[in-house]
Amino acid sequence: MAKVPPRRLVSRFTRMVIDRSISWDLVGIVVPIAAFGLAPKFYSNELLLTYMMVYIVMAQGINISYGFTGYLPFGYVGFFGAGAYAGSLAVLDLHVPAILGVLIGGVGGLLVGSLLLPLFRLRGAYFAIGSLAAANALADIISNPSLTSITNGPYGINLASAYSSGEIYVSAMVLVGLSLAVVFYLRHSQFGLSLRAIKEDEYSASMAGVNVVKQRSIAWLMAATMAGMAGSIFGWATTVFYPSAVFDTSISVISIVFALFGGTGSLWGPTFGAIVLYSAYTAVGISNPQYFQLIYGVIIIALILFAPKGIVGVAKTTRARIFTRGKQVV
Amino acid sequence: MSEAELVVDGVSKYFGGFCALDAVSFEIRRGEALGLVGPNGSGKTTLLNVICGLYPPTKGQIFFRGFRIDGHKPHLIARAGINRTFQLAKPFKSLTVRENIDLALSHRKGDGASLDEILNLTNLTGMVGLEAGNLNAGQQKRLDLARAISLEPSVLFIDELGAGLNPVELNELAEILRKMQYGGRAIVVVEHLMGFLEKVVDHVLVLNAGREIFRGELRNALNDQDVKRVFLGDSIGH
Amino acid sequence: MPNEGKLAYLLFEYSIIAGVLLGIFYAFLSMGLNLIFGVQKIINLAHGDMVMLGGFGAWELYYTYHVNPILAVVIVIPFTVALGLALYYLLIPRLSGATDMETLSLVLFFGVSQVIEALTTLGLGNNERNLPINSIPSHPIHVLGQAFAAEAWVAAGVSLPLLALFFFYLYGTPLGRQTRAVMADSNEAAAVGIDSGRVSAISFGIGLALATSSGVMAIFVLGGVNPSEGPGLTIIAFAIVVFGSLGNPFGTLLGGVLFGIAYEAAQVYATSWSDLVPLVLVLGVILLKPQGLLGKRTRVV
Repeated sequence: MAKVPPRRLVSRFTRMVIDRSISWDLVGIVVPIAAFGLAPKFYSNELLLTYMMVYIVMAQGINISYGFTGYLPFGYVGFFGAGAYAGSLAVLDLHVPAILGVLIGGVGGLLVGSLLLPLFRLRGAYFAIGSLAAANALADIISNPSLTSITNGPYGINLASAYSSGEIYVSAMVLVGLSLAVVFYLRHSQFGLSLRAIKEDEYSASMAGVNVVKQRSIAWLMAATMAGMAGSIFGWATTVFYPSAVFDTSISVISIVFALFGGTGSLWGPTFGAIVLYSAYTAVGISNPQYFQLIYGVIIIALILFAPKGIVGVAKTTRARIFTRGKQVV
Repeated sequence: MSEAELVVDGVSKYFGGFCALDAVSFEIRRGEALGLVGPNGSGKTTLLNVICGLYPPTKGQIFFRGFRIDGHKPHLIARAGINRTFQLAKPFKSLTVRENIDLALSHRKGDGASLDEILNLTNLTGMVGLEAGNLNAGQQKRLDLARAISLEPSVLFIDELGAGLNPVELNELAEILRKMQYGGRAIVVVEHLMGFLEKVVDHVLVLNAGREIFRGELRNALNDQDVKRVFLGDSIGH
Repeated sequence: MPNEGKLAYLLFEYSIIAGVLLGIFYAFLSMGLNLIFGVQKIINLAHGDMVMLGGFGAWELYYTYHVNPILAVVIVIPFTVALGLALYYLLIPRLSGATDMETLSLVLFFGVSQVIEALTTLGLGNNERNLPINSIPSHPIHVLGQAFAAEAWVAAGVSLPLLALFFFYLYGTPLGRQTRAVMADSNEAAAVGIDSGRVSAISFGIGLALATSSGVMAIFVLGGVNPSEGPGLTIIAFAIVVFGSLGNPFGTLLGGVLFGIAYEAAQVYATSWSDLVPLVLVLGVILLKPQGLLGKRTRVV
């Protein structure tokens, strides 16, 4: 890698700080991490905070896939479940430390993601439903009684021996940091630029020299790996789980809603969506999941009809409107 | 005579049973400008798409600097040095003018024009920070051209760049293309507008229904019986 | 006692006949998804939820008004058409200007699906409802010496005339001809003076009605109805429609029958894996032959 002379490095840094969107995004990484670092001092339910972090990662994963490449995977939960199983089985059968299990969970997501790469030949509904079918098929295979000797079939996983609330919490924080860093990178790099170009027009992007298939696959595999790690942290924190819990389609749904609610393509949006809506979920939904399902169903419809760019989009337009109005007065 | 930069040898393309291109051949050298002419559906755009790698030819071969390129991925062909504009300009609308050009520049292999030089050449200097979606049609076409020349192609296809532009803009564009031709590029102009063609090219290849019906000097084409018949009522002579 | 070869033959024969019966029903269940796609280029992700609503409608009609389920198949149709028209005019006009209409419509109807499922669960509870088997003819029917469950015959017997009616509508009535014109090319259709908005709205209503109507029979075929069955049925319907080719009603007929045979064969030969059939089918078809069996050209959505 080329060595950057110190003076240019300094000027690059100042340019980053001066660039409003870059510094705003840097804050978007630091603030959530700091907040989750401090949160246990004020709120004792670490498990809920961990789940919230897991959903931030999932929402950012949807952001990478949908916000940057335009592909909406209804079967995103497939990677989550694959990660939960890969991590847990490594811990139970190979006796690796649980933290290593999280990385193996990421590898699980990565492998399933690679298997599904041919889905990118498809578009729109084909891709969305194809990915959902793939996730359901994976769930069916893992929970099949014929495979009980390998996956414990429908009887699930018990990770009680590996439980450690402190390690789980810190791992989740690190993973949130990682996912935010990836999205930051996508928003401010040539690679991210390529993805946005591909999303608009593949052929035109390839005529700009962009290797469409490769770039899009890398983004997809990043999203898959993140979901795999999120799934294995979820499994580790949940301790005892059944295949139906880690392959539940509503995990995809919730991640999509969180990401769309905040606004895809941005760094703040999915984090914001996950925090606000997951808090609402814990307040309303845990005892009565149908009320929450109703609420997020209505949110989806309202977003598509009235605010397809999410809360961040609404905030931007409002700010622009106030800004221009002020200008006109002067 | 120097060796041909691009050789298209007997290229055919079928879609299902439909023959869109029937054994089309041509060569082009550096510094040449060729007009590719034909009515709608004559196969011009299909020919561009095949050369630029959107889909492989059904039959025939394409050579660039002696290397066979048919069947290669479009981004590799673009990086190697063949590029094109689009009939309907396709800049990336959510990206700024600078980002649009930077993206292409980042994939260029050798040296070449800087961002400022490209902006200058395509008359976009004042607009670097604007999102491409906010540009007018003429500006979007020039940005499409800027994107195409950022990779320093030695063969450049211009697909109906003149459509929808006013005479001043047309002259401006012809000027830009002339400059690039004298700079040693091979330029292929796909165009209906004869007025515009006259300013840029001397030789034309006329296609109809996927087949070559004329090849030679532009002024001879205007008197050719076949060409006249195909273009009867079309925009020739305008 | 039959020897092994004889047994294998009987099993094969069984899975073919049972598969064709099941397939006719599934073709009926999937047809509405194809109609709405054909006209609107929208995949209605709430399709399975409409099937589910049809099932609950029949349950209510039977227990509250003592309506025979076979009659309910017809009664739910006008109500659903009305609901469909209302939904159409509420949702679609706002969507039409969007740039990424296709993915957005997918997400939108996904939201609709969630709302239907939640409201049904809140209103009716989360448990499975059944109708008594003797509410329809219930005596097993023997063919070639093998017994086939009566509900399979009834479901196919109800689906077939309704499918015939649908094809008559599509190919034999002025509105149906207009519908096919819009399916072929909505711009061309508009150019010859067809009000494609009106055709789309009516097709949307009919598409949903086909779903609810099939839902009445789904109670018997699936062994009950519960609020969360929608998405699974949507996947099956999508598999069948894509298998036969999106936008081609005859393709759906063929896709349904082949799905039915594949499913019954899996039931016979590898019971615990039979739920994988629609999933493998959908993945296999969209990866290997996205244009479907009767597709003329690649039409990747």
